Amino acid sequence: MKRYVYIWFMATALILALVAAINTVVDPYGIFRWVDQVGFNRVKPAAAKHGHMAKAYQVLRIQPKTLILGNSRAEVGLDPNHAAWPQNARPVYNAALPGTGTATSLQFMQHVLATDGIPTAARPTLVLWGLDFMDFLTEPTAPPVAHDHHDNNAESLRLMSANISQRWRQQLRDYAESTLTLNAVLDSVQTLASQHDPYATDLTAQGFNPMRDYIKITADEGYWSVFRQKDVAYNKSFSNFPKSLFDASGTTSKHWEDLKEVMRLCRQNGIELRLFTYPYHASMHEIFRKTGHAPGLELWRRRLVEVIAEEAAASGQPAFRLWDFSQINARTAEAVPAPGDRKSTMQWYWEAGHFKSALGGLMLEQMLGKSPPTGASQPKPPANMLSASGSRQASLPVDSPP
Amino acid sequence: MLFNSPEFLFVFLPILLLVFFQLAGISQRLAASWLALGSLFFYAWWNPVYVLLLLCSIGFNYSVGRTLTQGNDVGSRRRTRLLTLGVTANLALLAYYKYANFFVDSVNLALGTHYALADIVLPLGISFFTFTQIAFLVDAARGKAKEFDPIHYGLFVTYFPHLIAGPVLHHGEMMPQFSQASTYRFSSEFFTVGLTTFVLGLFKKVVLADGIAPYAAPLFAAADQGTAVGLFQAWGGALSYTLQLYFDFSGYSDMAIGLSYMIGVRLPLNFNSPYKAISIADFWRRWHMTLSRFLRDYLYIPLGGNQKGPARRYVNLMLTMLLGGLWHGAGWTFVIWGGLHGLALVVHQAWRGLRVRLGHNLAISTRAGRTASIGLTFLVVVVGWVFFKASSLNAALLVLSGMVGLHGISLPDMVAARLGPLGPWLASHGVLLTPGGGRDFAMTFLWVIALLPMVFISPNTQQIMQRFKPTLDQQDSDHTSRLTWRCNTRWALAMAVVLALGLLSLTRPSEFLYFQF
Repeated sequence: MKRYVYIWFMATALILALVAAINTVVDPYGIFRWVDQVGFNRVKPAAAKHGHMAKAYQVLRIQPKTLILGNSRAEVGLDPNHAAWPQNARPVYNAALPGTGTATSLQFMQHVLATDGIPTAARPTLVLWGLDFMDFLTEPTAPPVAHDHHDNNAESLRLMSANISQRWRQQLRDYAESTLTLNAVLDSVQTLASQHDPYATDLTAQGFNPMRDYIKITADEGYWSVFRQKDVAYNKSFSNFPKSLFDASGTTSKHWEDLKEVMRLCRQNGIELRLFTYPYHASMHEIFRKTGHAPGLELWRRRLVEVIAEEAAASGQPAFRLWDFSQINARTAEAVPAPGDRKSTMQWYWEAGHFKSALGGLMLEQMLGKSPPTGASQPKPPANMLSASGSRQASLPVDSPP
Repeated sequence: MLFNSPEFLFVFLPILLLVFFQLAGISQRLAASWLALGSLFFYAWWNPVYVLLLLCSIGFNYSVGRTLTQGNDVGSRRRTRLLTLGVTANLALLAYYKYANFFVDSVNLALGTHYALADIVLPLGISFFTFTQIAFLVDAARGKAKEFDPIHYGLFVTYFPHLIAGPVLHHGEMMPQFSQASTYRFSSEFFTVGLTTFVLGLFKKVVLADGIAPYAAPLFAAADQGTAVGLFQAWGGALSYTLQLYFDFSGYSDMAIGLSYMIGVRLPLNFNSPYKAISIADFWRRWHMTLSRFLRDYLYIPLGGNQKGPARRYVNLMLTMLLGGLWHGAGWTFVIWGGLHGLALVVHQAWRGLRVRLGHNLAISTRAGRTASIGLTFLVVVVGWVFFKASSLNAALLVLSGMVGLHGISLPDMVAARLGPLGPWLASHGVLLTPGGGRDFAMTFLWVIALLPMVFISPNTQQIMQRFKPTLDQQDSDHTSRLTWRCNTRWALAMAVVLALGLLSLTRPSEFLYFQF
C-alpha cells in the first residue's frame, strides 16, 4: 500500500509540475508574457475572456505613460499602437474591460496608482476614459450613495489591496488559475493550435482586442445578420434598464461619484484625464429612442459637462476635457449592408455597439490633437454644454472624406 | 466547507486525521470527541450560528431518546406520547426552516393574500440530521436502539462525511462502528482504499459534473424566463442536467464513503448506477438508497405498506413519493416530481400484477426486454428531472413541450454548415437555422455523447473497489473486469492522472446539488 501511495503521489506531482511549466511558457491568458514568440504563443485566443486578471498584471509590467479605460467598446476600438499617439504618450496600455462600468474603471485606476509595497507600480501621465451612457442608468429608488461606497471585492482590486496577505492570496489564486487548472491546459492547447489562424480571437500585450474573430463572423453571416442579432439583444436588455440617471438623492449616484473620484485621483497625481463618449451607431440611437432612453442620453450629456465644470471650479484648475462622439453623423450613420449580403464590409462598425479601430483612430487623432479642425457643418452641440464647462466639445468630422 | 475546496483538502482533512490518530493513541473517547468537534467546525465554516441549532437538536433528541428507553414499557402510552412529542418537534423545526415560506406563498397564491415572512436561511443538511434523529427516536421507542453513548451519538449525527448531503445514516449501523478499536488504529489499507474512493468521487464531481453543468444551465434559465426552445436544445439541456445530477451526486457519495473509510468507518451504499435500473422501483433501489430505505421503513411501512390491499398500497406509494418529493425542496415542482415518480411506481406495480395474472414468469427476461425497460425507465427519470430542475411548473412544461417538438426544430447556422448537403435539406424541411450558438450546441452534445455511455455501461466505484468493500451491505458481485482496483503500479499511475485532473479542476469550487435538500 505504501508503495502504491508513493507512486501515486509522485506521479501526480510530476503531472502537475509539467502542466504548470507548459502553461507558464504558453501563457494562454497573457498574464506573464515571459515567452512571447510569433508563431508559437503571440496570439492569445483565450485571453480576451480573462482580461480582468491579465490586465491587472500586464499594466504593472508595461508601466504605460497612457492608460485607456472603459468597456469593450474602448477595448476593441482604441489601438494602443495607432500612429496618432505622440512619442511622449507611449507606451499606451488599453486597460478597458468588457462588460464593466464606472466602478471597475475607478478600481483599475486605484490599482495602477497603489504604490504601497509595489515598487513597480506604474504611473501614467495621461488617461483616456470612455464613458458609456448605459453605465449611468440607476434605479431611482436606489438608496443615496454613501461617501466611501466602493466595495473592496478582490476580483477587481487584485493587487491594490493594502492588506499584503490578501494581495498575496489573490496573486497565488491568479497564478494557480492560469497555470494549474484544466481550463488553462485546454486554453494552452487552443493557443498553440491557433497561431496560424488569422481569425483567432486575440488580446495583445497592450490590452487591445483586434476583433479578428469578427472578420470571419461578419464574412460568414453578413453584417446585416450580426447587427440584427446584437440589436435584438440590446433591445431586450435596454428595455429592462432603469430610466433614471440619479438615485434617491435626485442629484447623483454611485456612477457619478465614481467619475468624481477618478477626477480627484487624476488631479491628485498630476494625471491628465481626457474623457470621451462612445460613437454609438445610428441603429443604437434608434434602440435608445424605441426603449425610451433618448431623453436620458441628452440629460446625461448635459450632466457630464456640468459635473466636469463643477470639479474644475472646485479645484481651481482648468476643466478636464470631454469629447462627445455620441452624436449621429455621416460616420455613425454608416449604412449596413443588405440582408444576405456577405460580401460588403463596413468601414467603421462591427455592429451597432462596437466601432472598428479605424473609427477609433479618427477619435484618437481628434483627442490627441492631430486632426484638422472640425468641419463647419458639424452639428452644433447644445450651447449650454460649451458654455457651462469650457470643456472641449467635439464630434467626428462629418464632411471630411472617409 | 466543500469537499472539493482547497481549504478542506489541504488544511482541514490532513489536520483532522493527523490529530485524530494521535489522540486515538491516548484515548478513544478523546479521539471520538475530536472527530465530533472537527465535524462541528466543518459545519460552522458555512454558518456558525446554525451550529447552535444543530447542538440543540442533538441535545433534545438524545434526551428524548434516553428517556424513551427508561423502563421496560415498549408500546406503552408514555412512550407513544413522548415519541409523538419528539417527532413533532423535529418536524416542526424542519417545517419552520424549510417549508414556512413555501406554505405562506401557497396560501398567498390560493387566497390572493400578501402575507410575508422574513427570509429564512435554510440550515445546511437540516433534512438529513432531522431524518436520522427521527429514526433514532422511533427505534428508541420500539426498544430497538441499543447504544446511548453521548459522544458516539453526537458523532453519529455530526459526522462530517455525511452531515450536509447524506447518506441518511442509521444509528444502528453507525454507532457500533464508533466503538470498534479498529476505527482508532491507522490502517494503510483503510486509508489507501478510502483515499482512492474519495479521489474517484472528486473526479466525477469536479471534472465530469462541473464540466457538463454549463450546458444544462442555459436551457432552464431560458425556460424560467418563458423562452421556448427547439427540440435539440431542449433534449441537449435536459440530458446535460440528467448527467450533471448523476455525476454530482455519485461523486459526492463516493467522496463521503472514501472520507469515512480513511478511518475504517463504512457508510451505507447510497448510489448504485441508478440509470442502469430496469424499472422505476429498481431506480429507487439504486438512487439515494438510504433515503429510499428511510422512507420505506419510517413512512411507507408505518402507513401500512403493501399489507392492506392493492388500493391502499397505491395510495401509500403515492403518499410516500409526494412527501419524498417535498423533502427534496419546498416547491410545487418537487411535489410534482415526487407525484410523477409515485405514479410511475403505481403503474409499475399494476403492470407487474397484470403480467402475473396473465401467467408470465417475472423472473425470466430477454436482453431486448431489459434494454427496452432501461430505456423507458431512463426516459421517465429524465422527464422527472425537468420538473425537479425547473423553477416553476410553466418552465418545466415549456422544456417538455420543446422536447416533444412543439416549438419546432432549430439548428445553429454553423452546425448546419458542417453537415454538408444535409444542412440545406434540413432547412428546406422546416428546420430553422439560427445565427450563433454553434459552439455551445456542439459542446453540449459532445459532453452528452461522452458521458451517457458511462452511466449505462461502465462499472461503478463500488464495483471498482469491490475487493476491499468500503461500504456497508456491499453485495458480492461477479464483476471481475480489469477495472477492479488493485494496489499496483498500473493503478497508481492511472489514479495519478485522475487525481491530477481532479486537482486541476478545483478552481472556483461549485456546490453539490444535494446541499440544497
